[in-house]
Amino acid sequence: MLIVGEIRTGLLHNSGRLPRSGVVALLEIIPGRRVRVTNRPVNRSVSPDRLVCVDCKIPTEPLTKTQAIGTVRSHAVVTDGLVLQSSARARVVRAPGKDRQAWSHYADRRGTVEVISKAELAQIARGYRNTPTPDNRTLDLGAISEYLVSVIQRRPQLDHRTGMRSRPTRMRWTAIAEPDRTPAVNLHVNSDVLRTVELILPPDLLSFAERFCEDLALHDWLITALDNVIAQDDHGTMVAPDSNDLLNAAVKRLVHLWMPGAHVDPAMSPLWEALENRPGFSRQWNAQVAWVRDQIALRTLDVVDHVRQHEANW
Amino acid sequence: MSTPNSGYSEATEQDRPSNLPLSHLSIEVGHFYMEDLLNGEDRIRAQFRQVAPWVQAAMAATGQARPRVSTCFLVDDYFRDDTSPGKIVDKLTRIAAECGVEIDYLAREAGCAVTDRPDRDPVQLAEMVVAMLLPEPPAGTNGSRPPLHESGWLCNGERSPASDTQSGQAMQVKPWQPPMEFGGRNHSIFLDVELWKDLAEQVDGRLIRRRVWSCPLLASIWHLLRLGMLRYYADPVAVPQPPPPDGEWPDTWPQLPAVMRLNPDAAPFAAYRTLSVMPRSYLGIEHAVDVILNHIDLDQAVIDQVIERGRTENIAIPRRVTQRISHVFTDTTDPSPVPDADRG
Repeated sequence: MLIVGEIRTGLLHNSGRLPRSGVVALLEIIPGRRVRVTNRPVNRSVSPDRLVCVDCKIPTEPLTKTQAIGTVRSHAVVTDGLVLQSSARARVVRAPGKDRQAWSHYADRRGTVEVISKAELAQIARGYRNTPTPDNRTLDLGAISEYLVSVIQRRPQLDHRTGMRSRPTRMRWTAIAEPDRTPAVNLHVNSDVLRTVELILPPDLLSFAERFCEDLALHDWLITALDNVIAQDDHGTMVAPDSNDLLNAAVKRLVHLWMPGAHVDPAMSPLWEALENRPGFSRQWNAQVAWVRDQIALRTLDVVDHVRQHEANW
Repeated sequence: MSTPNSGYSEATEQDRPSNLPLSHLSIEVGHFYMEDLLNGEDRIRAQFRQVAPWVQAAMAATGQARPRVSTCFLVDDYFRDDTSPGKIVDKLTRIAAECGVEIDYLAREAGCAVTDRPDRDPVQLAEMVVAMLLPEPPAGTNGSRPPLHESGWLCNGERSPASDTQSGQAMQVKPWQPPMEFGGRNHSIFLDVELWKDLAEQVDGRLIRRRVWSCPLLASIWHLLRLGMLRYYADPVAVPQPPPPDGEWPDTWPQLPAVMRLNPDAAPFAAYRTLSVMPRSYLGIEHAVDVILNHIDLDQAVIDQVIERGRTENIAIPRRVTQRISHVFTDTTDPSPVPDADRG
């Protein structure tokens, strides 16, 4: 069994934090189907699943002829009324036959794509991870995920004003089931915005892969966003008129969201521990947060000092 | 810890659908366009006479010792709502009774588009059902294009490619290619169904855009209501209400509930299976309904619930909703059928 997915993570296009009721209304993308909300340890709301039908190639490595038919699920996740994630994923299985079946066959298997091919699942997983920009005949979970982002960002619950500038990130992931394996994760940073994650899991943990990757993508984006704030501050290229505004905005919006593994089943915690050892996610985050707080403190002292001198001159 | 399958499928555990009372069979006892109901009584009488023996036969054929069977009738008030409900209902029920047909439930077609709920906001049922459609992907659909059914059309195969006359390469005309039905047997029976039409109208000098749902879409919703398959945030929709007390019918159709229980002793409105007895002129619409219902992503929890309910009564319920629907098409005895152009 194999699951492939792609997650986009970025800020909601809104000037401030969206209240909880607003988030629920924002994510009601399928009329009549409920938004799932958890409030602890941080508010996390998940839209109902949208299904997208596909019949196309799926990449393999080494290259083999394929035809992938079925449905892809996508949903949007909003964390604390601030961060928007759009997550598209499909369970990939090998088709029993060589021909496309009647549509009802696929409609009954929600979120599953059947692949007509000689390719092994591991070959598909490798091909998928190494094809970040598929051609227009090849399964494009990025486009499905991007479409959902655009649907959400256009909705009337948002004021469409930029509260803090940040770049969205993409995470492509695969999770493959191997019996009697200890869980393993490999995170690869391809570029400023693209990450690739490979998960190998015992079959009973496969169902937690999607949530784990969404959590990982959120935290990876937090580090990227804060890094971006620091870089802007260094270069004096801030959007905010007051240099402290950007740092304050970052502290207000981002810092409390750091809770690695909080939304992940305890069975997956060894994977987070592995990532904490290398690359040392929390180490990097804590150092960044400390830097930002130091800057705010130093500048506050500067201001206080300035005011004192000003008063002394009177 | 849950098993991988149940965990990944994200069963809507917070969305446990409410139970509906279910009959064994729901029989639709004929169908008329509003024009038929306005023009004389002969045509109405002729159809109910044809319907009556089928209703008796269907009731006898449930195979149940104590069958729960309800009858229903859908009034076309969506494409024409300028008639008086009191007069129409009176005429309809009187002639039906004369012919030995009892109408337990009377429903409004407009209620399949938007349905009212007591003390709550109305539900945009047609929008909800359109959002549940899964259009069949032609080969090459990789997820990068917007959903096909945003065009307002749904088909059971791959359309014939458009001929390329706009490109300035008129000399290189591609040969015509046929459309293809997916999963067709040897040859194709290709059907392309219009789900809605967007109209722009001038109202008080302002341009108003209005979406008009097609007859097959509303008929699909009608079948889903009769099969007890629709929920709005887990709540049932179009729950049957009593008719106005003391026969005080309002002047207009929208003032009435979507479904009314005319017979207080009727078996439940929704049922495991449905039968529609209607003139054969509706065959095209019902074919389109079949295409629509075969492409709909129903709430899996509702399907499971109905199957489970059937199991407790030793009745096997098919998972696929179209397998719970049957029809009898009667011949047209009327010498002057309504012209096609008048149909919804």
